[in-house]
Amino acid sequence: MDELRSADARHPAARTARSRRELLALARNGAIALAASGGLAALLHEFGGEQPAAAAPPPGPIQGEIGFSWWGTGERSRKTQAVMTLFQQKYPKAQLDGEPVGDFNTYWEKLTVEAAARNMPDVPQMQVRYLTVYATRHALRPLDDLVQSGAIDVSGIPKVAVESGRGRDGKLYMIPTGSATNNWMYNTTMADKAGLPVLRSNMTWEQLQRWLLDAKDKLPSGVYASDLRGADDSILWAWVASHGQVLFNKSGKLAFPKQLMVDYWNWWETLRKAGATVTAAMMQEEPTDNQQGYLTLGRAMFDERPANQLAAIQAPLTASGKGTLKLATFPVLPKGNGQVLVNNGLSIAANCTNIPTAAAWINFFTNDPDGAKVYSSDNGAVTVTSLLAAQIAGSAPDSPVKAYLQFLKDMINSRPTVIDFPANYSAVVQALANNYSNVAFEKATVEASVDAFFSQVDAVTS
Amino acid sequence: MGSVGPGRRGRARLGRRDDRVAYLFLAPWLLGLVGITIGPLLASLGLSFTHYDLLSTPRWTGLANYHRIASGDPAFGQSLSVTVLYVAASVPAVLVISLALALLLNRGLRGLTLYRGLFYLPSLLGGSVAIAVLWRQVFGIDGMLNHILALVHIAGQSWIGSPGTALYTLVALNVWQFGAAMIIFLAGLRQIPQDLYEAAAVDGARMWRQFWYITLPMLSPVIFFNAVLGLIRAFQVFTPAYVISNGNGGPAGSMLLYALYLYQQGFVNYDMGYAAAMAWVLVVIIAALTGMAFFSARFWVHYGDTT
Amino acid sequence: MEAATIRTNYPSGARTAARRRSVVGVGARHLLLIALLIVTLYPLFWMLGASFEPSARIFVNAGLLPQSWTFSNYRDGWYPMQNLSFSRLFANSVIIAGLAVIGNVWSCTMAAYAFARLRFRFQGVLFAIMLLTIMLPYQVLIIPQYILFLRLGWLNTYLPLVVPRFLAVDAFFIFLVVQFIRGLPRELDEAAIIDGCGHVQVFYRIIVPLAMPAMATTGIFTFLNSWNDFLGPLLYLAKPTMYTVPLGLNLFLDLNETSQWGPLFAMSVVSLIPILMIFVSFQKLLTEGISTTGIK
Repeated sequence: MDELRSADARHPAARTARSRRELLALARNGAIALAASGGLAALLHEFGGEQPAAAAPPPGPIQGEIGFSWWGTGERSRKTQAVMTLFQQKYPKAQLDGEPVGDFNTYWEKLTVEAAARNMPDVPQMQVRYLTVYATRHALRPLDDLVQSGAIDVSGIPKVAVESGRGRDGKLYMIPTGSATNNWMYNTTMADKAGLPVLRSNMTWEQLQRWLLDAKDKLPSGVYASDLRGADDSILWAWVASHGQVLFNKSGKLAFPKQLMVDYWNWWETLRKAGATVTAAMMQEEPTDNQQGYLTLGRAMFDERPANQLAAIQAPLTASGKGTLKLATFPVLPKGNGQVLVNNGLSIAANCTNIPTAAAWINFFTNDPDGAKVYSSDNGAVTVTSLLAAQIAGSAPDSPVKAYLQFLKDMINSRPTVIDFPANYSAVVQALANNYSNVAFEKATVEASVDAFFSQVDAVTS
Repeated sequence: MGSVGPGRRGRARLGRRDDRVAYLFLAPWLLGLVGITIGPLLASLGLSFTHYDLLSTPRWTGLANYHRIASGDPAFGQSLSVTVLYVAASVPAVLVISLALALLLNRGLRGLTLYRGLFYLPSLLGGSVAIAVLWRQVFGIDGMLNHILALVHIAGQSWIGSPGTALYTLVALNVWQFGAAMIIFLAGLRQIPQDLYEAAAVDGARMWRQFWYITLPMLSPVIFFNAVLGLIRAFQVFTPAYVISNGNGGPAGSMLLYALYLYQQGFVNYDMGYAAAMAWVLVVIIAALTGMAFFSARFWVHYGDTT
Repeated sequence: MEAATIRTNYPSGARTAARRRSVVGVGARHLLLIALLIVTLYPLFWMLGASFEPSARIFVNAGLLPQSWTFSNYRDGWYPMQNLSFSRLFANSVIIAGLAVIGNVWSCTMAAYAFARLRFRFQGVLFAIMLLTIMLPYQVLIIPQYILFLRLGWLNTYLPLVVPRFLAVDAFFIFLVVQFIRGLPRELDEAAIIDGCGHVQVFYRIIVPLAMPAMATTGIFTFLNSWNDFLGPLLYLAKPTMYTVPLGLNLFLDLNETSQWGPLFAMSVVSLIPILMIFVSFQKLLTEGISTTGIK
């Protein structure tokens, strides 16, 4: 870079003139830096927000624009837009501006940035895993007053579902519109052909392990008994809950004994080392979407999958003729229920200025029978009990849709576990994946990885 | 050639400072720097001294983030060593291959435009999610590479899923997208005066000597550019690692590139202060290496404007 | 002149031998290039094949060729959402990318001329700052930039995607053009200056024509970067009718559930076409470099 510097540096007169100029330049730079740091302080203050003042429930008119965001691909967008059309027919003065984002992870990236600037869409699609982080940071508006005043009617929703929408402070931040759960999904055709006994929901974890080890020898070569899911958070929930423990305490820290987790990962390691599960490398490279998983491709007989994706996972299997899928609950044991209720729902952003319309939209989406029929439980089983019953009655018999709706209905009625997710829950999922990876690739012992998991999680969640 | 200049103000003087004209030419960039770039840049520096969870106001914590980096966050060390390995493997490979292809496609063949476009196609896909699917089709357990190996009776494995090989699939991806560097080399080759080659041919110089004594020196500013920018970009690579490892940094952290770990800390762990500190540590590292590159340029880069 | 001398020095037999050798050489080159192309483009062939296969069968079929040909992916993919067609997305992307190219080429070339040919106060410092802006990972800039554009009132417009290009915010290209200009001999500038040209004239009459390959490269890459930019449009655009092509493609994706892989691959293939067209048309500018010293 010497070539770029001025050539007149050698001239003595130029040097004194230069030093005077440089002093001036220094002063100018200093002033700029000072201004910048002052501006910096101001800029830093732009981040985050304080708690908004509690506003009285406005019984205002339902008109004007609101923004509404959701995740999901073509089919879901089509159904969502159909419901939006119905709403706008009912309330012609209101206008819904849809802001779809396709991919689930991309959706949360965008929403986080918008929340950081307090510029979220008026009604964002929400989920229990993320609810705490937005609620405790005051990015969402409490909804209790709207429920009290009747602007949002939750009377048709089972209480256990509504409670899942409460934040740490007891206030309601999300109205649940779709119930989902994680559970076992397995290929009954393969299981029957291998002569395996039927899977029962009250089987203990030891019995399940023996069932899988048994399957390993009876399945054709190239087909694994189970996918390797030691990094799966929903199975961990089931393990902890069915052993009678609670996952997180009120401060968001892990609340169960480390030994329980050691036992959990050892349960998987036994299966993996015996060859009953896919290899660790296969686990690593497995894509996360429905059409490329080992269960869908007929490479594994048994897996954990959310119930509402039964139809989607069945389609490629039907196309390849490799079997029919069946749902089975996580172990429901005397000590605790392994089935966990996971809800999707709608919230109102703290920066929303058109509360009446936002409330009306949430109310419509949740309760309107025509809307529910058009949406047909695309993002979780519809929460209003009467609407769910109607959809079950209206589904084609023996269809995957009917199977999954019935499964959800039974699950909700059987007192599922509800988890108090901490803020920054995504960090838990990440830590689980990282540390189990070390275990599965035998880079660290189970005990060391469990220690690492606990310390990493407790450092981040709250 | 304009013999009547636009008056004394517009006339340039050889070897003297041209502040006013220079700042005229720099005006758009300066405006962008002050108006758009500097603010967020300084904000990120400021954030590195805070605890910022994205949704609350940042809380001043002084040097805590930097202290955490220095006092041995094991994942930090891992991400740094993985990245250094990635840079060392991919940057030279891209340079060599893109230069070789540029030479092959420079002149003297029919259909050069078509060839250039086709070799450039992989770069056009950018960092899309489709890349992850495609890469799995080649390097996955059921991928093309294993099929080819099976033909010669070598057992395949999951190249993406195994800790020993996963990173090299990323290196392969970077090399696969050599098209951009190749285009830059082609542009550089175009700038070399043809009569230099003709004169050399008259003197009896064969291809290799022409390459070594004409092409390389005349191309050296562009080689320097591709090397430095390749280095900077390789240190910052994010999307391929993210999509191919499903966001988790690969088998036992073997694909945990620096920018991926930074992203995890910022957006998954909601610890943007730490991520900002990591970003500025990276700037220091890259700046040091770039400075060394500029220093070395004295010895091998031949600019047309120095005699 | 010298070339003619060389030719007449060859005896006629050696000339045909030389021509035969060069034909073989050309053939070998083609063969090598085609072999390399097949290896390099295999993943793209796979994607092309997958685009003609129904979504449910894409990952079931292990081969390269589709087992059940269909055009439905192209048909269904054209409308990622109701009332949103890919023609609209293409138009949006072309407008943004076109403006980005104009702005970037203009502002970066100007700045590069200053750094490469002029001498001015703070030159070293500014050059270092320019490089510094390339070195910072963008992940930590996302939120501050979003807040900046929010405060400027530029959200839900194309301004955050276009205006920065006119302000040479992407310093990568400044450095690129600097390196090219520095490869040009200074005698040209000095001759013009002695003749009485101002710097602006030197810029327009000498540097710009000679730096055409660099500017064409900048144009191609700017178009490509703008076309493929995902994060910018994701954060700054809210209305689907304003979305760009990458955002449209993302509407086919849901990596946690079911993605529409068929339409995604089909539309990805289609979206390569405009970029290829731009590449081919810019190629002319790329190849018009100087083949003489240009001192004339």
